[in-house]
Amino acid sequence: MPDLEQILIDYSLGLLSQEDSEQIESLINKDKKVSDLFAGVQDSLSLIGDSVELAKVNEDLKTRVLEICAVPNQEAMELPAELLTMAPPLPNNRYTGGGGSVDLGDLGKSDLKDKINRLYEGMLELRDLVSGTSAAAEGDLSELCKSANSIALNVPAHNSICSNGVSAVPHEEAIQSFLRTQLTSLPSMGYFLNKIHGERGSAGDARRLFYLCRDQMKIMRASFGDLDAPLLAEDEKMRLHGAGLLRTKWWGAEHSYYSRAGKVKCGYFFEGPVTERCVEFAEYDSNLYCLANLLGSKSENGGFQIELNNTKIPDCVLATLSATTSSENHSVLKDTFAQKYNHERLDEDHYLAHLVKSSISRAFQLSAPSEAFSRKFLGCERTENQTILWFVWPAVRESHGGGEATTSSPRQ
Amino acid sequence: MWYVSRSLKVKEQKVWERITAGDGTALAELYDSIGTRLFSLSFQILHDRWDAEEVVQDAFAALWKNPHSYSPQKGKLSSWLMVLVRNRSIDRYRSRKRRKDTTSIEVSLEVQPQDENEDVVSSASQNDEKKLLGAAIQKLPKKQLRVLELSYFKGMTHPEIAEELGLSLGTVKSRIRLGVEKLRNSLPGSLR
Repeated sequence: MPDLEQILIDYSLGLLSQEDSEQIESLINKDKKVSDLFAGVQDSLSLIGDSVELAKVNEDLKTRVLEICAVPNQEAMELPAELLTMAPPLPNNRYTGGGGSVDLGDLGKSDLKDKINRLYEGMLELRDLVSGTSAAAEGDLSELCKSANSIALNVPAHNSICSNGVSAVPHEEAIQSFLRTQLTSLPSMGYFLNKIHGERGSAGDARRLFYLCRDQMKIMRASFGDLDAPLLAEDEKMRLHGAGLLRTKWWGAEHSYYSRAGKVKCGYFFEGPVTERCVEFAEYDSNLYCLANLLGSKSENGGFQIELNNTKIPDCVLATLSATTSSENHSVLKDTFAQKYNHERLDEDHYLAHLVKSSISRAFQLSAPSEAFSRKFLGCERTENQTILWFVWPAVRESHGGGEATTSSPRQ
Repeated sequence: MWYVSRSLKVKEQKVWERITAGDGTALAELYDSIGTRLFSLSFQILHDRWDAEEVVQDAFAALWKNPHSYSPQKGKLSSWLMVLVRNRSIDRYRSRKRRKDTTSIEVSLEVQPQDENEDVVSSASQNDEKKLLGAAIQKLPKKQLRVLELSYFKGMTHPEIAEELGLSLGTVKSRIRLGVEKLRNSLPGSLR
């Protein structure tokens, strides 16, 4: 049966069309002779795969794989009842990110523009040091260790940002863009850079730095349109970003808001797209980092759980973060979200909350950021000893001609 | 060694049955028996450690979430996973649109020094199997080997290989099929 064997080889190698593949699958399921032949083909092809040189595997891969076992296939988080009856009005034109972008010149005469440029240059250096092809990925952290301290100097100290001339910036959106580049992924990056500089790091930490660095660069480009215009043009192309990209990144990760570190668990994640462009993904990521930083710093052990659901709220994706908190810390968090915005009087936690409110108000075209919280598109509630933070985002309506992002792409 | 391979086949089916029943320790056993091989295959295709880790992580997640996507009639669980990881790696490779000419079956056949932490019996058997595989692949005609390499490790389609090597489509297909057949037939029954 050389023809059938050929077809089964092509099917196994992913060379058949969808229609032909379905026909073959049906044959395999119905016909014992075909399934026996198919089993033989699979075994033969796996022999080729088995012929490759065995590579050293980083130890934390097994840990992450086994964390899958703890993940329920259905939503585990108990959601506040009011959330389940929500039906946000969706704008006619779906928001695809890029709305909060300003130019570096909008920062005015302050030295903040230089800070942004230096930070981005540091990220370019770091990206190469922690990529999947770097020595650090192989477990040799010596080069990364040498550069970690100088790159970490770009990370501001906790509570230093608000007293650093930000309030003097005349342009409200420029303030937000600047703070988005300082308060979202950067604090966690500082934690890992210091860990590696202090020779306490591992290849797993380099991996975490890779994701943080990639996200930080993407957030910076989405915040300042003239920072890296050629790469931003790529970020603005239509490209679906699935929930799986977020799950992979957060799965079993250690996350830190400055020195407060904890473990992240991924609960239920739906399968499917979350955003349509890299600039939108950057904004979505930024919102997740804001909530992660707020909750992680107030949770009992620094850790929290993330879930992503696309069925609870019509035509929307619901992101929820939960953690055990004290009632005092829960009250602080709730007040943080409820407080009225005044950029001259806010601390970093209030800025984090405000960044998410602004983003959601863009996504749903609300008249003011405060509406995001008052209408519960962003929320903070308590069930027993758990604080649940959430935000709602318009779902991607239908697939389109854009490609799909992958992890290795710096544009993801 | 052949007895080890045969018993592995039966063992794998039992492991799969336990996974379908939601037994997490079965997933751990499966990872221990095949995790390194899956990672090595993906790494060979992608040449990027983080990408390869993600492919392996996602493959185990897919099996855990939907264990009936595999069934024993599809062959050995390990073979099915190898093909799954190969195909997911190739998807990534294609999406990166890289065409780095760095993969070579011949180079990949070096048997690695044994890891001190590995189980000695299982490692010895794996190395023996690798030697047999290496010998079997070296016996393949170079022309067949090249076509297999482009197809398997670089995910090139038949027309792409035909253009790259200046062959007819029929020749490409037959070289792949014959290569796979010869490889299978040159190995002892337990490895087929």
